[in-house]
Amino acid sequence: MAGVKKCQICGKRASIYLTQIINGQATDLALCETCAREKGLFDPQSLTFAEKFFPDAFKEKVDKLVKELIGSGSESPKPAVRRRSGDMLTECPTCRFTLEDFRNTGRLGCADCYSVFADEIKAEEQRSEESEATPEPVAPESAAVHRSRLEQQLQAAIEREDYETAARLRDELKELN
Amino acid sequence: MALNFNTLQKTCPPWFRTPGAEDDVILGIMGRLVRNLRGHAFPGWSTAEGRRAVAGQLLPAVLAQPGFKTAYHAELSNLDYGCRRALLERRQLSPCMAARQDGCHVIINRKQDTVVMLNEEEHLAIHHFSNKPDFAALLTGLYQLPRNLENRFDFAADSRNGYLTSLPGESGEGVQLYTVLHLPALTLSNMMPQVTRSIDKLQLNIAPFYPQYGEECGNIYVLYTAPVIYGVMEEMITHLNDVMYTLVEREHQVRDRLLDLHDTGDLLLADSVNRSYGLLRYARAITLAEWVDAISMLRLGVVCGFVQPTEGTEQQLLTELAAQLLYGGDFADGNDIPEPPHPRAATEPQKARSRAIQSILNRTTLLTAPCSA
Repeated sequence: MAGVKKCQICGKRASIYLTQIINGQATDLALCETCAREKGLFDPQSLTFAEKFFPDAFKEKVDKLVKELIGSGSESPKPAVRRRSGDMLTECPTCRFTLEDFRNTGRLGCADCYSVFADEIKAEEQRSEESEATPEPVAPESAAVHRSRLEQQLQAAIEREDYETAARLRDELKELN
Repeated sequence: MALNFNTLQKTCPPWFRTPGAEDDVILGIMGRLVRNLRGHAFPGWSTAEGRRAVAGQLLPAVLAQPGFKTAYHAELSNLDYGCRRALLERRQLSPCMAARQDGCHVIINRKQDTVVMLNEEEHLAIHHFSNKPDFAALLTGLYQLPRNLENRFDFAADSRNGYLTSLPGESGEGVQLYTVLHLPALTLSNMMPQVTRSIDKLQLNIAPFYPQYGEECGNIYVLYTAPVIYGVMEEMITHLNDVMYTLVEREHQVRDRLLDLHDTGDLLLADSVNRSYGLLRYARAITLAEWVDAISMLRLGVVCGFVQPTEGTEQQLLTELAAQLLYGGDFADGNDIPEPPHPRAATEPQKARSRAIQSILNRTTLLTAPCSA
């Protein structure tokens, strides 16, 4: 498991993570909420939009920040090792928990995952609220697909030693058989 | 001197110590509180090294708190199967924790009303028990330890979600509330399926206390809330209290109804109590499931006046019967059960159970005569 990232400006615990590609080399940024807000980089969603709509202005802003940080002698940038999907981080830099893990298990790896996967958690909440509000479809998936999904979830539960969930999934599989 | 396992086994946890409140219906209440440390992976995702690092910080701090200096403490990897089963039966270990190994610790204070588990589903899980149905007092006891630790540790929380947990849907107050109810009359009248469906609609849950022995084993059920959402603790307590006392009222109504039926010649109640008395008196190799069912009916028989003590009071008799639920456990002494010499021979725990109940029954009298025909 990786250690806790510190803010590259003030040294407090980082909660916002960015990766900027400069001349083909990836540079990681780790900032705390206060510093990110000060630098105008608080909302990752707005960053995505900024990058799309004002690419030059955005690049200039982040380039300036990266140079400032490197110049100030703070933590040296490392090659990117994180997986990305589009503009969204798909792996928590603190614990290496991935978005796929979250989708498979519904659990998170550490407290920092809450900020890394904030959008996905919110979407999941909305989905669950909607599913509570609307009745379940009669046949959402075929028996084979359902069995395969349950088997995957069972494997994931065993790997993370969540035996209560594993037992429940095992029983569901038995019923299917 | 720290409490050891054998001493721990000789004393009853709160809800086996006295008869339940409200005519032996509310056996006790429990609060579960969880917290996680920032900067460490949650236990389900962390390595053994990561769990040891978390326990290395939390364990000395917990053991230094008032009430925990002489607590029982064990790392799960040092507990064998029998000890784990014994702690599970006493509700001093959660099922999830019973399967854990390195870096996971259980700490039980001397009064046995607080159990602390390190690296359970979350870094810190505290269970606090009370045999009085007073949630305000329960929460005071439950929050005592985390309040003392808050100055030293950075517990993961944010303003949107409250206290952060490994399951995002469980974030919030980090608290779950439970009540343990003895509902023999509702069970005897086959009303539990309806009760369960009603409870579901009230956003609460009800589950058997001994799920491993069947849905209705011992007629004891756990009524519990979902993890409490941030800022709605008061509402949740009021709601749980309302539902709990409604169930108590229904149980009393059904008991009254069964007694009325008994007066008109219906034998359901008297027959159930007498059968249980006979089973406990004469059976030679009684299983644990039969044992807890029979003890439950005997408790109902005492409350309804069918079984009366010839020595001491009804309360003392109920207390002894309550403790029998615990000491009737096959794993009560924390050791694996040795195989009997013959497949149909009684095991040592069965013999011990039989001796204990004979001693109690010798001091009682059965008021309803067996049917002559």
